[in-house]
Amino acid sequence: MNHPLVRFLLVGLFAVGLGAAPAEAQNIIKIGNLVDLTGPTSDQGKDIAQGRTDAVQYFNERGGVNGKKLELVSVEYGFQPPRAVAAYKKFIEDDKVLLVLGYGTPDTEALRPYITKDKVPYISGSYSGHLTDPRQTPYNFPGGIDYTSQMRIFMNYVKETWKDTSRKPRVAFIYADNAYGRAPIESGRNYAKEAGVDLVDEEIIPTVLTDATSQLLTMQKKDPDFAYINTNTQWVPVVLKDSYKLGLKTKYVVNNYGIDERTPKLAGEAAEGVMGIQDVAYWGENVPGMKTLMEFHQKHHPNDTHASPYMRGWLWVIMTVEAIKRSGTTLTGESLKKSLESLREFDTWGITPPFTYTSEDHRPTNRARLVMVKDGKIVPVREVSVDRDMKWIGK
Amino acid sequence: MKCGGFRVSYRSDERIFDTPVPIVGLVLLLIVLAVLPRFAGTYWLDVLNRIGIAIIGAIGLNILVGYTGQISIGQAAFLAVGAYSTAIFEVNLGVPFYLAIPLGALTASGVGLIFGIPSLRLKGLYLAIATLSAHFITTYVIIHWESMTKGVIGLMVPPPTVFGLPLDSDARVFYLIYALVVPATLFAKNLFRTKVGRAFIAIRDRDVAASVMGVSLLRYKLLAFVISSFYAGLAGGLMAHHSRILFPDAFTLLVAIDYLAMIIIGGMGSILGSILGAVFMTLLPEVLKLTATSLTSVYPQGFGLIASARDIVFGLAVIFFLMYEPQGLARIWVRVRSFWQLWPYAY
Repeated sequence: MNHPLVRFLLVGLFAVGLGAAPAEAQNIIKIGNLVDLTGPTSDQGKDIAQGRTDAVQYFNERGGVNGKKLELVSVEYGFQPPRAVAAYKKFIEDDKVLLVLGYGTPDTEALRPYITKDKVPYISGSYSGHLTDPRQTPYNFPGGIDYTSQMRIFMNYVKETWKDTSRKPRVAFIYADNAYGRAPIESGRNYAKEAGVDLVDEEIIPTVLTDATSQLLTMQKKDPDFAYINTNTQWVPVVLKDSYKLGLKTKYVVNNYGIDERTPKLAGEAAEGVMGIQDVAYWGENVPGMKTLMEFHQKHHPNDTHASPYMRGWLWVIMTVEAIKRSGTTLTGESLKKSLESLREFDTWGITPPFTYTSEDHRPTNRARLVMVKDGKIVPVREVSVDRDMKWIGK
Repeated sequence: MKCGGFRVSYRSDERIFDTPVPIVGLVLLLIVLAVLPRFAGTYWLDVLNRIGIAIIGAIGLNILVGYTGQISIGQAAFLAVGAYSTAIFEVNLGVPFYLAIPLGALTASGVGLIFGIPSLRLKGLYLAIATLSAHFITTYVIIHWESMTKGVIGLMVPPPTVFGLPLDSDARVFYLIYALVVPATLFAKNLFRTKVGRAFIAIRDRDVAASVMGVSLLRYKLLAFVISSFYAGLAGGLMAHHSRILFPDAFTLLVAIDYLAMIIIGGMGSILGSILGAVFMTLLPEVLKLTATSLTSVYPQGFGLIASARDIVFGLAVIFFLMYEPQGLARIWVRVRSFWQLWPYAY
């Protein structure tokens, strides 16, 4: 029985045994941690996972929350919704997690009915507007300013800067062909009419983008003055470079997941003058909590660098810790939901504008920053905001 | 004591089981399966359900590739057609699920028939590329026919009700899946003792010789595609009820490759091989994932590294199998079995 195959199977069985080992202590709070490290959004996922792990370690080193240690139950799902559904079942049924730190829009939107049924608070990396209405999705908490609000900010900005009175400004939407890319599009179309801008073109790009020339050539014929890009940081430079190559005059504005510190490095001079909407602080920026983050980073892994998704990882753990603190000894999904909904102008260590969730409105904030690539660096331009209008909720 | 094949009648020659031991084993297995949902946690039930679905899909593919010799990388497409048509029959047309699943499978076999036509002219890699087109066409239709399929947003499939009980838990879906796995396996096992199955094997071994002997290539090649994609459609229909939400992303080309890997690792041209391959290919990522997760609780900073290493280990395991046991798990099973049958005297 010394065949290598037998040995391999034994190792496998041993691993099953390890995985099935029950948690021993009562004073551990389990938190589901779903991330993409190998799929098309791994540009965000790696930093988000690192941020969450670091933040949990940080709080545990300080004695945990209310005397209890946090434990992340981590699953990597490659941005594939079916794998996320399987992971979610594991979180709920086997690990009995108190809360889930979710990830992308396709999976979070797919899980909505389960989340509502299981009453487990679900803080998602997805900021889809469809998750903001507590009447529909009472346990979903998008972890930042929703995509539709960002799109409204974009169109308000277009209108403000437009000086030509002879015609309306022409805009185009460029978005990824998945639930994330499409999430704000329908409401965006409606708002274009309301805001008085001409939506002349929509270009759908594949989730994994290698070339955007054909889409940009179609867009060029419609000659938009502004285009809004809704995809990930690693694919946006493809659009920017192809556009630069074709010599398009269109001015680009990118959503929060599409632009960060890496964009100027990836797109080079094609990124110059490109604008973005940003929900979190940049790495090393002068905000109150950054000192703690930098110190932790220096102590545990000083040799790597991080981009803004890392801050999001911390942000969602900070929110979780606050919710657990406010819940006291009664730790259930319902009590955690109530605690999250009691956040009013909650200071997220300055990483984002203050957060407010209520039982009627799960939009955490209506403020963000307009940023711009200037001389190979990303710089904040100014703070922007949009109305917290109740008619827009859930859209 | 008799040894080896000792068959004195056609009846004994046609028998599936030479000794009563495997029959007892199978009955025991069925009993275990029947009571399992009472004991297994939801997570393991979920894994078992996926195994059941993979078994049906892998048997279907093995009928086409392993037994008839027609290489196909369109399995994900046929799965998708089965899944989406089952869901659309149920959601949009209100067909009850016990009709919707067979109807979905029939739709898949219709699509299989169409994409099987190139097999009449093409062989080997050329056929593989032709079936690849089935994949791209199907994916395109699913993504863009939004009024029916909801595109990339995902199509929700509400749980059907059986005698007033909604099929909303993994335990209930488990019975639905395995109620189909058993007859599907029996049908396939028997298929190759009939004229049709023999014709498939004859085509695989040498199609020219088969046609000289009077096997109609047109009829049997297309029939192989129809039966194979019926199985895929069945698996797809079960997928719709298992995951209750359908995405085009659930049917990528990688799924088709996974199914090919299942039958290659399990054993080409073997029903047992299909089952073992399906179990192996579904279980291996789970085992690796659990290892990664449990290692992470010991060493949280290593999560990124461990999770990425999973794919590498998976690839290495597959290469390892192909190199050391090219005839698949079914062959290993036969070897292990004969070792114990002859033990302690290996004569």
